[in-house]
Amino acid sequence: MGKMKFILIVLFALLLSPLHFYKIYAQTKIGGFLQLDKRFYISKNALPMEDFYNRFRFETSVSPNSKLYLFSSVDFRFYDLARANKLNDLENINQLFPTNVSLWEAYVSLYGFLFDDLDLKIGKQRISWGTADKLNQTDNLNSKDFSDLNNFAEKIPSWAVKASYYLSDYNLTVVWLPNFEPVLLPRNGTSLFLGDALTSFKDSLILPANRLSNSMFAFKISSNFAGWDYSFSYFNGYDDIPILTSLYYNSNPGKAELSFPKIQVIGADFSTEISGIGFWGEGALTIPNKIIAPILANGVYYQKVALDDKPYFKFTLGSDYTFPGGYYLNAQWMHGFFTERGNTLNDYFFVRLEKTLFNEQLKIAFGSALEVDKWGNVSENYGYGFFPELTYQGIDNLEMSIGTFLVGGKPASLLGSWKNAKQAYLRVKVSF
Amino acid sequence: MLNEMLQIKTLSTDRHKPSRESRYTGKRMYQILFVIVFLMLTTIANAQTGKEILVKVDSVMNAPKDMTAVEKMTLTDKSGSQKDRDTKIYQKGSEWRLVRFLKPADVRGVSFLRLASNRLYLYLPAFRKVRRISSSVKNENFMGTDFSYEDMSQSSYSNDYTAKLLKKENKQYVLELKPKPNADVSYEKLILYVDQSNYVYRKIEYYNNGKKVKVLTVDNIEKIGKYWFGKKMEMRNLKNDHKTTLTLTGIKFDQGLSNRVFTERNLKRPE
Repeated sequence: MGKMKFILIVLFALLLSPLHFYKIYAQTKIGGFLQLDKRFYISKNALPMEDFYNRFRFETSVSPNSKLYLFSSVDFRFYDLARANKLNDLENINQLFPTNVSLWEAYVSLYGFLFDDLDLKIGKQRISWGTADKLNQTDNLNSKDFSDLNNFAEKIPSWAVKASYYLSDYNLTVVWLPNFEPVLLPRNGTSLFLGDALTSFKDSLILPANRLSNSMFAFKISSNFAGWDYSFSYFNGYDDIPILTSLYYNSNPGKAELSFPKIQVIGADFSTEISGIGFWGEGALTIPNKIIAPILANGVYYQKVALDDKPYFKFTLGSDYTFPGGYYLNAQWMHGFFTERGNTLNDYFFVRLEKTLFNEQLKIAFGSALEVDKWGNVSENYGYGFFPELTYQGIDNLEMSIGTFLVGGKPASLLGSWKNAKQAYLRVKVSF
Repeated sequence: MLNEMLQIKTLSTDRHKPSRESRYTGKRMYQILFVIVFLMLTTIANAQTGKEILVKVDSVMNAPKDMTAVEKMTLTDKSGSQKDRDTKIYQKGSEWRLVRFLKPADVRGVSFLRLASNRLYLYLPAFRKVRRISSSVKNENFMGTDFSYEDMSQSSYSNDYTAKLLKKENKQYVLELKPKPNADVSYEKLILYVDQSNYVYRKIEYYNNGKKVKVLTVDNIEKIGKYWFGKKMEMRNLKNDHKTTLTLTGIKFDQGLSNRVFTERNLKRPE
C-alpha cells in the first residue's frame, strides 16, 4: 500500500511538472538591448584598440511567487577589428570577428526571508554603493569595468551573498563575496589605466588563492535624518587593480610580477537637497596592507615599498540643479581616480550640462573634465577632456547618439596619457 | 419681497392701537421675518468662498487612504505620432507616491518614489542604483510626458495657493488660484473648474508669464467605492501642441497599503 501511494505521488508529480513548468515559462520575462557602437579614432598615433564596441545583452527573469525572484543576463560583445597576425588566422572566424560571451548577472532574490524585513540576494550581482553620480569611491564590491574607455566608471557584477535587513528608517546590508574578481581592462589598452612602464616586461599576475580566508566581506548601515540620507560602510577585501610586487631585470625581457593588495575601506556618504539644489558626497578611507617588492637589477637585489600601509582618503563631492528651461547641470569633484592610491591622489572636476528638446526627443549634453595633479604647478600638471554628445530618442526603445571623447593634457597626467585614444563615435541602442 | 418688508414696517409702527387684526398681522410679520432670516442665513451658508471650495477639492482628492492603479500614458505629438508608457502607481495619503514603469522596454523598471516635496528618488535598473533627485526637477516633464514632476505630485492646492471664486457656470465653480507667498510652485496662476456636485476638478488651466501654457482635462469621472475619481486625464501643452493622456484601470482604494511599499527597498524591487 505504501509503495502504491509512493507511485501515485510520483505520477501526480510527473503530471503536474509540465503544468508547473509551463506556468513558470509563461511568467518568464525577457528583455535586454543591442548596442552597436562604432568608434573612429582621431589621433595621429591612435592606439590599436577595438574600434567597434558592440554589445548584446539578453535578460530573463521570473518571479514564481511574491517572495522569490530569479534574474539572469548574458552579455555578448563583438568587435570588428580583425586579430589576424598570420595567414592561418584568416582561416579562423574568431580571429577575424572576435567575440566574447559572459554570464553577466545570475541571481536569486528572496524577499522576507526568515523575517519580513530581511531580503537575501544570492548569485552574480551588481551591488551599487555610494551616492555620487558614477564616480563612486565607496563602490568597491564589484570590480571595475574599464573595457570601454568612454564608460570608465562601469562595474562588473560579482558573485556574492547579500543580506539586507530593514528596520524603520534603517537599513543594514551585509555582503559576502566568496571570490576575488580583478579589473577588466580595455582590449589592447592596458597602458591607459596601468601606465606603460611594464610594457617591456614579461608579466605574471598572481590572484589571491581561492580560499575561504581570502573571501571578502562588507557591511553598510544607511538611514535618513532631517532630510539627509547617509550611510557608513566597511569593506574588507582586495583592490581589483594590480600592483607591482616584484621585478627582475636580469633577463631579457625582464620579469614583472603583479598582485592585488589587501585593503580595508571605511566609507561614508550623504545626499540631500538645499533650496532645490541637490548635494552629495562620499569618502573612502582606504587602509592597505604594506607591500614590499623585491627588485633584482644588474645583479643587485634590493627591496622597495610598493605600497605603504599608510591610510589614504579619496572622496567625491557633487551637486546638481535643473534650471528653468530644462537645463540640467551636474558638477563633481573627485579626489583620487579609481586607479590612484596612496599619496598620488589627483583632483578631477567633471561638469555636465544637458538640455532636452522637442519633448525629450533630442538631448544635447556637454561634458567636460579638468585634472589637476599638482596645485602648486598647475600649468605643468593638468589634463582635460571634452565630451559633447547628441542623442536622439524620439522612438520608443531606440537611442542614437553621436559624440566625441576628446582628452589631452600634460603627458604625466591621466587624461594626457589618453590623448591617443581621442575618438568620435556613433552609437545605436535598441532595448527590447 | 421688498414691498412685503415695507408693509411689515408700516404695520409694525401701529403699536398703539392693538386690534385682533393687528395681532394677526404681527404674528404674520414674525413668520415672514423668520423666513427672511432663514433665507439669508441659507444664502450665506451656500455662498462658499473660493478657499472653502478649494479645501473641499483637496479633501475629495485626498480622501482615499491609499490607492493603486495601472496607468496607461499615451504621448501624442502635433503630427499625431504616439508613444505609450504603462506604469503602476501606488499612493498613500497625500504625500507618498511610487510610480513604476512597466513599458516600454527602455524605461521598464525605472521607478520614482516621492516621500516629501524635497525627498524624491529615482531607481535606474540599468545601474541597479537609487538616486536622489533634487526638487529643482519639478518643472521638468516627467519621463517625457506633458506632466511635470510637480503636476504629478501636487497633493494639496490649498496649501500652496489662495483661491478666488470667479464664477459659476455649467454646474461648475471656476476658481482662480494664485501662489501663496513662499509657496514652492512653478505656475503663476491656475484656473480650476470644479464640479459643484462632487468637488472633483474637471479642468485646470496653467498660466505662466501671463499666458495659458497647459490645460488638464479630467473625464470618465465615476464613483468607485466611496470616492469620486476621474479615470481619464489629458494634459495638453499649448506651446508645442503635445499632449499626454492618462487612462487608469484596476483602481483600488483603501487596501491598507503598508508603509513598506514606499521605501527604497520596494523601489528597487521588480514588479
